[in-house]
Amino acid sequence: MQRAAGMQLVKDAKAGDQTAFELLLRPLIEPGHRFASAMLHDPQAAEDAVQEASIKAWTKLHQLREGTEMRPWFLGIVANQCRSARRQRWWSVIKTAEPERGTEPPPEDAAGGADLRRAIRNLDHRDRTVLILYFYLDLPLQEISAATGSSPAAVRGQLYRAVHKLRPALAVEEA
Amino acid sequence: MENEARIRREIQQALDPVVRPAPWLADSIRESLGGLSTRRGWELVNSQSLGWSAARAAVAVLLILAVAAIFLVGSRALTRPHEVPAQPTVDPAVQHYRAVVDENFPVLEHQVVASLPAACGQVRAPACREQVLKTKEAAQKFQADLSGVSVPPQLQSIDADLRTGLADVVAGLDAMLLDLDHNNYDAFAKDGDALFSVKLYEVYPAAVAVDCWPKAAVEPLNSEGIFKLVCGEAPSPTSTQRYQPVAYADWGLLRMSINSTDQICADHSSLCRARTLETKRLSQQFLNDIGPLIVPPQLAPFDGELRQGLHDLIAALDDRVAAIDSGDTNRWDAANVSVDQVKFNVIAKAIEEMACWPKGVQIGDDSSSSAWPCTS
Repeated sequence: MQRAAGMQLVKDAKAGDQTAFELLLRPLIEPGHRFASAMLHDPQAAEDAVQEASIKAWTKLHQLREGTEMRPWFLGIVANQCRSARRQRWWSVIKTAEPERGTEPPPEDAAGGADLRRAIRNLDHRDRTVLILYFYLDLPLQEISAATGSSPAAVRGQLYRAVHKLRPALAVEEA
Repeated sequence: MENEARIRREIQQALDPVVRPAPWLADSIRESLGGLSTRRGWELVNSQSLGWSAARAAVAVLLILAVAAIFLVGSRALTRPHEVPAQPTVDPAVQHYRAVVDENFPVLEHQVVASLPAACGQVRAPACREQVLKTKEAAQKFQADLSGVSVPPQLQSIDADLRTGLADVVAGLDAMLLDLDHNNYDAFAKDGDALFSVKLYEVYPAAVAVDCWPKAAVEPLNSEGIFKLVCGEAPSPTSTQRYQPVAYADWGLLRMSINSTDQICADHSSLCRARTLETKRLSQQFLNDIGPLIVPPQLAPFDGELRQGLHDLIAALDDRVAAIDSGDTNRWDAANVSVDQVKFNVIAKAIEEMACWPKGVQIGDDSSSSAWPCTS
């Protein structure tokens, strides 16, 4: 029933009903923002990425194929925005009088957390995307597959590789 | 399974601190969408009643508008408070030079960040070429204004960087114009990307450095990898403080150049050759920059590895160019692997070792990873 209502909203939004689109988008903004924040580690850039992804989703809604879930489709757009944001990262060059202290991790996780964040940042875009979608947003493999355009088996492989690369920074021994 | 749960928990604990609540985001997005709704409705209504080609034209117009809107949103980045700089100075020559930079840089920045991407969302649109020309004019005016000002001795090295960066911007824009003349839109996109990723990356730090003087524009250590230039303490006379910022800054540029070339060369794209030469130039520049610096004794072993790595990289890049020229794709692939291996196994390792010193680097089994933590 809920799925049918969702499909109707997609249909209405595709027909130009902005309210329908907003109803579809609203529950996706928070996960989109968490995802972008985890990808970029920069609050302003993350907000920009979600905002731009939302506009892109609205203008490209006609590309959403019938039967495709909105969440992975939208998160795929957010992922692309994050890639652009990192590629053009001189956007985020800001000039401030002194180094900002606010971005430093809280002392209690300064050791392990910072190393792991650094390791995650160093993953390439695809590995980072699947890792964060799976472990941080708890998305099932099927949805990650839809978001990234890879097969579930490929996603599983990417996840394995990503975790393997993170191993030195993880306290847990990899299986 | 339990292991997976623990990994999940660890990752969540590591990433939670970088997520800042943004309760205003939904409203902000809604506001942005409001401005687009009329145009979207226009497209939907009209494309149904028009023929295919007319509908495509309508979509093209819409795309231009949509991209413009996207970049208008993106350009909010420009309005972030630039709190800085201007350290009070009584030196009129510095004041004058700084005024020239402050007058020209924002114009060029706006062109590259906002006007150019907005107009070139539809690359065939005449407005795109017009904006490329306008951007070039802004860069050339910047160059001309700099030529007309006497450079204060204390800003000479920054001035040299700025001029080099501007020359690269102009060259990049010329390449984009040529791409347009040849209807080579793929090359245009790549050259545009290079303009963003590399060319202004050179100009921006110099412009910030002018503002910051007598402090220095520094990328703070432990900045969590987010590239932010801030006005910090000018490098002190100690050799460590001189050596490390240069090594990190040059490594940042070189790494970006290598990474942006990876896929292009793996695909055997015709762009690989030019990008490889650019990477070679940056490698040579890296060697030149650290050449005259006094190496702090504690970093000497890593410096040796770094220099050797840069020489090896240059050799691997030369080999790639030779492979491209000879049309030998097997050799090309082998050179790609060599570039990657030198980058990770030698240069990245040396840089990580410097960054971690006096701690060591815990190198994992996976030699393709650069995610090596410092030992505890």
